[in-house]
Amino acid sequence: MDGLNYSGTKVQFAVSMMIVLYFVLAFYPKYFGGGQEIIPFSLYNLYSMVPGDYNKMDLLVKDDCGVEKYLFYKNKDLNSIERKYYLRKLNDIRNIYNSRKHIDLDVDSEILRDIEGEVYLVKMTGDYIKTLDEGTFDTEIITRIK
Amino acid sequence: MRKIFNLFWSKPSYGNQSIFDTNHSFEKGYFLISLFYFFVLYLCFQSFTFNSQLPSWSEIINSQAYFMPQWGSGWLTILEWPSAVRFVYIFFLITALLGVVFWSRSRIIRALVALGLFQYLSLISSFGYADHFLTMMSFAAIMFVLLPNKKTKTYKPDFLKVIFGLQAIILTTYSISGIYKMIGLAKQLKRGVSSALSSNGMTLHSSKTSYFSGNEYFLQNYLIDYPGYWIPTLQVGGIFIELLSIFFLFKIGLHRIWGLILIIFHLAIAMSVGPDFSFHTLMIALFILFSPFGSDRYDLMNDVKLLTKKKASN
Repeated sequence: MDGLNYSGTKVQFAVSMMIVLYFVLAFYPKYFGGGQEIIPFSLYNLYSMVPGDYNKMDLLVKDDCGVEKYLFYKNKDLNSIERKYYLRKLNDIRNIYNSRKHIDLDVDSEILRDIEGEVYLVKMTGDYIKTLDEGTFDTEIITRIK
Repeated sequence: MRKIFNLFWSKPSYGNQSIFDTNHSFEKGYFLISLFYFFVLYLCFQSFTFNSQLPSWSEIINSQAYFMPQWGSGWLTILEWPSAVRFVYIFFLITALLGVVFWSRSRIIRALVALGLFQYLSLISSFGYADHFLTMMSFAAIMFVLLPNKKTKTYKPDFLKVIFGLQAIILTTYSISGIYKMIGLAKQLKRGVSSALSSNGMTLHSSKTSYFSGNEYFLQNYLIDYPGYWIPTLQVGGIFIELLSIFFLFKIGLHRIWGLILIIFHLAIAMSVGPDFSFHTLMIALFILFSPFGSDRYDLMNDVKLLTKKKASN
């Protein structure tokens, strides 16, 4: 290749800086940004710990015929966007409830607007394997929402 | 700092020759980047269909109420929602098509491809949680904006340096992820709770992913029904694969073998724990499994033979 002298070119400098920038932006949210990742730089701690017992919030919906269904758990009617959205909202609700021991949900909020029937906020606790294998977990009704 | 950079760029060699000085590497690298831009178009193609892991365009149009913008997609709120979504899709399509044709001719086109892909990733990641399966592809597109101008004197070596820089990021990412998993393992051992060394460690990961996704994974029942030491062996093996990746960056002759190991690693994850990194696997295939560096012919068995010969001669 014509014996080219490639040391110290602008591209080499730019690539070096990009590598540094990549890792700065990837680490920043973990230590300074409250854990909210800056896309497209993902966090590295996914799956770093084996999960223990879980403690989740969900909405238990009873329709007019008395059929019970959860908003998130085993709800095959949700598309991928709805699953992500409800998961996020339910995690936010759990975090608020855990810190204040009280929660007020607006019945006109996005999460409740389209749900018909009686709606209860429930706390689900259990072991992921038993929940998957046997469908067993403990529930505690926190409050009736509507 | 400068010394570290110079050391970094002077170290990679294969057969006593700098990897940035070989014509066959350049030819392969050029072809691989052409393929990369095709894969971006292919991803765009998938975004218009209904059979991929990507959310469908119609679901997105119907999901305005769930929109929680990321930093890259906040501007969408100033437009009428369906038009804004269609704009992102059309922009992605046009830039992906331009990328396939003109990537080698214009830095502006490559920057537009990176922007189109990034906007699409921002959009689909703006409904509660970010998606991770396109991050490496997006970053590769950003990295390729740096590919040199054809008229520069150092075009070919600089071209290869951009690819090597991307390899560095890919492999380091795995190693850092492995380090966090080792730290997690140490913390959980100290606390005396289930860890990667427990016979149900991977089963817990698998059932947790299942809880969130609602899907069942190919090996999930085996993990539940046959707990034993084979589970932590697999899990710790996976952690070591991640951890050791960085060491293979400068082992040029082993790039392809390590690329195959990483792909098998992702396949095992998809079969047992669930996360689908198939688009990420394409990046591993392009830039590690089919690495442009090393031997001038693609033959994994030959790479193994060369490795064993080298060891014997040492």
